[in-house]
Amino acid sequence: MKIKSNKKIGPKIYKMQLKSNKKIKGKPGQFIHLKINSESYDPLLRRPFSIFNVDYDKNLLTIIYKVCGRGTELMEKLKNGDKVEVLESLGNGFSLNEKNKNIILVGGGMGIAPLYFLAKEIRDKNNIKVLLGANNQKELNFFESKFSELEIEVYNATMDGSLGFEGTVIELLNNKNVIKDKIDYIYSCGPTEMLKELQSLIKNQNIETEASLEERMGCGVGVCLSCTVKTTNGNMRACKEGPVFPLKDVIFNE
Amino acid sequence: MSKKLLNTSLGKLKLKNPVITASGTFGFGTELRDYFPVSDLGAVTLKGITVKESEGNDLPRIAETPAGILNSIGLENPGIKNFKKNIIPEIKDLEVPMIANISGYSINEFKYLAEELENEKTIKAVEVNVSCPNIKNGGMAFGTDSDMIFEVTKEVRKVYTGPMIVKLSPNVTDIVEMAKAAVEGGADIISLINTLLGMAIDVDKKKAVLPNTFGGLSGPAIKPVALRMVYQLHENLDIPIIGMGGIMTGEDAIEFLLAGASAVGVGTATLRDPDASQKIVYEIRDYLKKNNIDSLDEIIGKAHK
Repeated sequence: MKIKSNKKIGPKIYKMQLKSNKKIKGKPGQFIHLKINSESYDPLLRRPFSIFNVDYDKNLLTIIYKVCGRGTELMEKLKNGDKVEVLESLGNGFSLNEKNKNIILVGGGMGIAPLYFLAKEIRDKNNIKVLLGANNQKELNFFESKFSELEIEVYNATMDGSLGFEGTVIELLNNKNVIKDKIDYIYSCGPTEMLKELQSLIKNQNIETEASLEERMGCGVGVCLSCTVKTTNGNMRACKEGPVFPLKDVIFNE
Repeated sequence: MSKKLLNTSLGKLKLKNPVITASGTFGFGTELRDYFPVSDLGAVTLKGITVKESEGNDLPRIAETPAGILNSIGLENPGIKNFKKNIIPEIKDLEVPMIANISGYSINEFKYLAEELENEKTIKAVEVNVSCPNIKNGGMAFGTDSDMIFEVTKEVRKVYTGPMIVKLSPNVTDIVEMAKAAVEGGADIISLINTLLGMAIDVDKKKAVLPNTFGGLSGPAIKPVALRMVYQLHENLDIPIIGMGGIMTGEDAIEFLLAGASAVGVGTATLRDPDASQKIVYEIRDYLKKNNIDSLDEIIGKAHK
């Protein structure tokens, strides 16, 4: 794929738009595996990114990434027109069959990215609200404006209180004054700590919840067993059977 | 593709080309079917199997290092019973020789695993893994002691009549001594190298990146070490060698053949590119054609003076 744009949208947060010469198949919750540098063995492995948006007509795929290590530091330097090798539409995404439901999307940090693509695909058939969590306002501005464009109600939680509720997005979800309607279904993506808390919350309330897990991956195609997730149905691969799992089935480490 | 050009033999084990997937980097042979036909390869070495089902180690199991990867998977696998019951039926029709990789925590376990595979027609050879660095007992503990290598090989030989490969650990002072022990025990083929024991430390958390502290280093970073060990074995012993360690391209593979390997294992390259092993087959063929070489035998071991 060719880089169409690569620009800063927040503190260390970037949006990269990729143009393919083939039809893009990616669905919400699936991920791409990006080879940052074809000319060098450093970094050696690809990097997985959930899909933020797809324009199927124009063969455009967008990801959001935060610069946090060797791979993303190199990504930041990529220019428009640069070519990158991409394995596209990997893993199993969110289920898209829900209809006429009160749906809550819960996203933390970079975990918000796949929820935008999901919201776009399911908003016509459902009543959706989205809860976003991050450290501060600057990390949320971009996402908040994108969800607002879709005319979806956005509730924000920031750790420093610079935007919306002061605290975690799970504390916000748990606040009875915020979400008053009955919740039928939750989709979530974010740090493990957030998903753990969400899991204990839904346990009491019995709400069906799907979660996209962030695990460190190796191959991304199911052969190396680096990203094994323990579930009540046995070991699963985040890259193959996941990254989306029913949250109640996931067994988190202590 | 001319078949003869790439044919190679590892003793009784005849392959149509020298490219074999390394254990643990190609699942059970079916996972990457969407990327290329597995029948393009010389052989497939399957994910390592133990007697009992194994959950594997805690996450993270992988850490990237310059031109390399540290892994600590911990032999997650369904165990020999489930392997025979559920996996063999799925892979029996794949048109490629299948090599089972076995890991025991005791000599008896190695023997039991080999016995279980003796009559399994789908499995064309067994690779005895005495070199896994990521399990607490067995594994590398066997592979760094020549007496143990001899004992394990000898016992497996008693129950397994097909081609027996012994996979050696590079974490030893004298690789030739280890290989000699395997040959004396009855090994038909030596594969090397398994991963080099290494570690990475997170300077912010001030502790090892991998919960297991150490992991096995693979990838281009270890290629020179692997190549040297293959060269040493070929210099000192007359036994077919499967050379591996950081092979990413056809040219890397040719280096191993020149050092004395009759076939090569491709591992970490597959984690970067799912179709790497197929690409390496083509690149070896292109090298041979470009240099007017009619058969692999013309180059195997040719780097030796």
